[in-house]
Amino acid sequence: MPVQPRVSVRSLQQLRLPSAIALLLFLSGLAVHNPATAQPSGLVPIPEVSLDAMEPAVRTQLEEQRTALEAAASSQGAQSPTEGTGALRLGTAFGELGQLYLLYDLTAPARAALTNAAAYEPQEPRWPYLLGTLYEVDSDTERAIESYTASLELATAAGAPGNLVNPIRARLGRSLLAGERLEEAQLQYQHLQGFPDFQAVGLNGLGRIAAAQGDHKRAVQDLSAALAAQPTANQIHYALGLSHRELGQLERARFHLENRGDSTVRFPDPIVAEVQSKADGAGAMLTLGRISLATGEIDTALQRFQRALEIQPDSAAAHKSLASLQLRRGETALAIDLLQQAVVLTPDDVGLRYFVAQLLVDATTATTKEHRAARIASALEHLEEVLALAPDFTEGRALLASTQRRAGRFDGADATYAAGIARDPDAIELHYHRAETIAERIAVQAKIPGAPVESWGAQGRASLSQFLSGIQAAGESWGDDFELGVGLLQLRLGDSAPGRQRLSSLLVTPDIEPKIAARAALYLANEMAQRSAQASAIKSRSDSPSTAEATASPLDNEAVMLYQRALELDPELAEARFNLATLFGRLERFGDAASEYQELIQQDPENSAVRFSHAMALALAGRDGDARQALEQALEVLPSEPVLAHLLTQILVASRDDAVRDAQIGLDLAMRLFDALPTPEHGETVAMALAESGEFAKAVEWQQKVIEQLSEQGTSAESAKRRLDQYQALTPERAPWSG
Amino acid sequence: MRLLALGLLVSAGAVMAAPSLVDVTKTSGVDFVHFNGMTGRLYYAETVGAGGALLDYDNDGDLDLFLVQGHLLGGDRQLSDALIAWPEGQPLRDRLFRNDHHARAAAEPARPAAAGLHFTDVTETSGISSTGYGIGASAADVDNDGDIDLYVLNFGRNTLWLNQGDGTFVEATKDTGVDDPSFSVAASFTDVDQDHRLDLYVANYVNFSLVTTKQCLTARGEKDYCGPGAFKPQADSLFINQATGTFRNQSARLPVPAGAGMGVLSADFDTNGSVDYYVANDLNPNQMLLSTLAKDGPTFSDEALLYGTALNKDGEAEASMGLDAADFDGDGDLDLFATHFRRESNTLYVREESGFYSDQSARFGLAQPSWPRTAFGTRFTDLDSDGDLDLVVANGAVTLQPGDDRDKDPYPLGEPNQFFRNDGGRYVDASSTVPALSGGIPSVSRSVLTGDLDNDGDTDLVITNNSGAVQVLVNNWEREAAGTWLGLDVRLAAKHGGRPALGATVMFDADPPAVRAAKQQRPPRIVRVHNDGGYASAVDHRILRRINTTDQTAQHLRFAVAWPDGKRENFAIPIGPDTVARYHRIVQGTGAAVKPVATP
Repeated sequence: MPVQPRVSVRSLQQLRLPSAIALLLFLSGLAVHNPATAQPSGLVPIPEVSLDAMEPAVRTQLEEQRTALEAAASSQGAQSPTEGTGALRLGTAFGELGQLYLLYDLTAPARAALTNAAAYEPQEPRWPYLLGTLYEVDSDTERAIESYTASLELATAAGAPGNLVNPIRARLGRSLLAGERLEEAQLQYQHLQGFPDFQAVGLNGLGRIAAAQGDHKRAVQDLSAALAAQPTANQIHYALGLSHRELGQLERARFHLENRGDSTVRFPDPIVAEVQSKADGAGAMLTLGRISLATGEIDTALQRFQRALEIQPDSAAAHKSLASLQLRRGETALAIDLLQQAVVLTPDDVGLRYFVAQLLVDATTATTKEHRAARIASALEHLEEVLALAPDFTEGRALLASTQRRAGRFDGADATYAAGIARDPDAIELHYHRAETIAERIAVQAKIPGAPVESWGAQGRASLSQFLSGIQAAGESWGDDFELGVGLLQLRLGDSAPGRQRLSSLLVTPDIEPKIAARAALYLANEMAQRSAQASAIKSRSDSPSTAEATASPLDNEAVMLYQRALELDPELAEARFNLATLFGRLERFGDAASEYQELIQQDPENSAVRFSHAMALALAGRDGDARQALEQALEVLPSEPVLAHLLTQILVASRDDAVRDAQIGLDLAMRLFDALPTPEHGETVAMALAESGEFAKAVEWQQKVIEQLSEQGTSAESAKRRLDQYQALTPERAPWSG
Repeated sequence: MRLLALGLLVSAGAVMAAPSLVDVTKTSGVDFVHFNGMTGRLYYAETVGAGGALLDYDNDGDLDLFLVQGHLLGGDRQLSDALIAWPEGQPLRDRLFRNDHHARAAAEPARPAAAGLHFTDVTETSGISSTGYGIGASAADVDNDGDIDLYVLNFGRNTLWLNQGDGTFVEATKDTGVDDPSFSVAASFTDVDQDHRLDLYVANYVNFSLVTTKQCLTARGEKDYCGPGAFKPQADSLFINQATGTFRNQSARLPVPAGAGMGVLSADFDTNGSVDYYVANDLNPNQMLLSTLAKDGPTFSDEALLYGTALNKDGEAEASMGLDAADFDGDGDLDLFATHFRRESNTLYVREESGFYSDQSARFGLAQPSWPRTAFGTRFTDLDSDGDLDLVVANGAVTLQPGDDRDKDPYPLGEPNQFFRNDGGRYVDASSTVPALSGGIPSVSRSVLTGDLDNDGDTDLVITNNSGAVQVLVNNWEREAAGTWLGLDVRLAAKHGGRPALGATVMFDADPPAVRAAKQQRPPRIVRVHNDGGYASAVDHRILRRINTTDQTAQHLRFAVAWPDGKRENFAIPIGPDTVARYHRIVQGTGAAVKPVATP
């Protein structure tokens, strides 16, 4: 028997779709009829419902069932029912029609039909049971209790098995609890103990009763047991959290409250399952699927969405629902395929195209560069169509331009912004984005021979200037974070003096948010460090190697101070600390660099680049032992990072410190690395390890293979040849990283 | 929660009479009809608006009315496409109605009540040219210049209209830095950083746009409006008022994630002396944003889960829309009430002695009657003038009810409004006793604006209706029992603009704790000075208090005020023929200062 969900009111409202299942669980009505005392004294009229707007499958189903009912009624005759098969047949026909009304959330007709069914088929426990669910959905607790009680009496009198009786007890218990008839509810829940499928619902009920009685210690026990019996029912966490709160156990309370979810306690419910199995329309399947989704039943939801698609293969809604579920399951590629099909079905759906484009741009599951490029190309097609359909859709234009930027289509991005500006001259922010695009183009393409960097810079500055003029004309003030962005953009566009001035002024702005001031200091420091690096590169090209020493220039000193200022203002600003450490490295202040990297490791222990840089700084500072220890610790956190393993191997086999080297472990590591990633670098390290182990002949052999490989790749083999000479001279390598 | 004995709290006139509400819309001059712009495309925004604000914009002592309007949705549509026709030539814009009560009362001083309630449309002369797709409105003196300004919440950019003090307004949205392009529904002005300037919290809803609209179906495959789950929630906004007359966007201080906000109110929930926010979210857990004042401004943490105000008793997030906070049970703390979707109960969160809350909706009789309705606006108010707080709820669906046929009625979402009478321990659905509110053809109601429109000491109502006419309902109770009330208009000191002290708390019968303990008294009943909460609206900030004129021992109305800056003062108003049946300005600095008592 499949486990059926208890569909919560909340989940129904989430859908805002008056679902048939609502009826199953909470069906309500204004019926004046008490099923427990129903007498077959005549028909309760079934309210007319217009079927015109319903989907064809649902309409047909309802029409057929109405016809079946009419047939049963005519064979029974117009008079009051009597004992016999005719009355039973009529009762069943009413019941089956009631089931359909219930399924399709037509509460008033469902109530009438089920009331008639209970009257004509008085021994059948299903009808009062379903009426109970109707009353429950309408929060008519007393009538729900009456109906469930009647159903329970019929089921037990008929000797129905536990799988039929227990759902009735579970729902009766819930209604009694809602009606604050705690002792009666307790009796029902206690009956459920001993039935594995009903353990969780029983314990959950008992826990809530205990909480209602103020016995929170007992409540915690029962609710914890319920959660253990059905760990997916994360809604139990809420009641559990509140009971812990009442016991003064606030930390436990917080834990449970933060872990609460939407999944209710489930139990097998064959009567409800029978109704659900009648769902035929794609709309009903989608609704049922969404309810399953809301209550955490992913597999059931998947089946229902797939069924909806089978029923109506041209349903864009079914494609979209299935796609959203596949996304939730992490199946992005499947979701994209489904959405692409939905686009074919509804090509003018701007929102859909926009969403697909977003997905294509953001998806990280592309296996190859070509695959990724194809996705971006598809995204661009969708976005271009989006703008053709909705030219004023600013988010669409922004995504198109940013995707074009991402694809390196800077001309296209520029044209997109230009078109946006032409359409809406008041959209001054587009000038800003245009300037940003140009700044990015400079960053990406400046090194391409013949790139008109100056011209781009001029265009970018012009766009930014238009933007700033627009702001000024509008008398707008966009705040310090805005000033920060503009200052950075000015620097990137080569408008250095105004950019520096803007950022510097932020450093002395009263009451500025420290994080904003910290960023201003960071950007200024970056710019100074960059200028200094460029100057020293020029100097090193003009000087002889012996004079090109790493001495700090005034710009470097100022950059260091600004990085430190940034960190005073915002100690968590990792970018400032990383750049400071990198600058220390360039200035050969390796000890200082290592200290900064160490701070960064505290902030982000799983950052492999920081771990690597830290160990390298230690090694360059001559602290090989500390470097080894740092790498061993790093590999405990990041065991599958080859760069860390590689550096550790080199230190183990080539440290200048005898106490640090360990040829045996080093060789083992080197071989494993090479097996996993047979690159020339790893091959060289194997040779290094063999030399350290005294196996120079093998080292020479490996080194020669490395040189061949490098030559084939067209890569310089100069240092590899130098090491080959060393090994041939029976000299192991030392501190290869220092070169 | 202490046991209720509300009967003991009623100072006078504990009569179980129905409120005497009369619909005076037709004669009031308020001829506002809301237009939601629907053309059959079922745009999500169509069902969300619209609210309004009660404010005394001309400082003449009576409440004026501002109502927000929608417009046609869909750039390719014409007015002739509208499913419900809009008269040619009538502009679609927000409107300001001046209350003429003061002028009429001056003209007929002998019979002010008989002068009747009348409003005049002053939109044109006010300079308010607000034509966005209006959802709600808020009103407050944001620049401390002594007059009330307006903030309009739109599906689209919000607008701030600064009152010039001469009956005109100028738009100053971008100049002041309160521009918010989100789909905003409600706002709260309160001084969250205790600098005597009102800060602004904006509850933003979902990222629906006309371009990315979705099509939703019922279980039977009929086209219908979507639910909020079809769209992503938008982040709320917090604007901190600065000394420069501009606001700084400090939304980054608010906890994430966003929750599809539809309502917001402010109060000091953790009683730490600084004002907090409670946010009603649609289908997401509600938030209780407790503030702590740090050197660089307020910081917030969402403690709704722990406080028990995020979810209903079953741990389910509900579709919260309207909300209000009041000491309905008179036990000295603030309880909360939130309105919800059909097949959810409206939820009453009762504050316990522990300071935490519990969902007591069913126990107080509020669960079942709300079950079949979709509720939006709500207010705790003493509608029947018996001294305790009743509840008014504005209802109107947003999706099809089973069996609805849109071909026969393009907008079949009307539902009767409700009046819940506080019967001292339980609320009773007494809607049938107030036909002006809940009778007739049901409308798609949204906001409940409460205020004493005719200054006669009882609460009148303005009900806004989506795609329908606004209703002005005058309460005539006080005319039948004059002289048994006092009104308090609690204001900051003149040096802070003398504006309404939004965020202050008034404690009645406020003996010091030690005296109360000695007398075995209950804690003082508290009333917050506010105009926020409800749904998409701002209301009368003044406080009405029933007076027992037959009690010879009650010579003064005594109360304490906890001001938004954390200071406290005691006040006493002598009860006599010259003081009853009128409003009194309670100004900061004119009472007896209360020294802070060290708490153990």
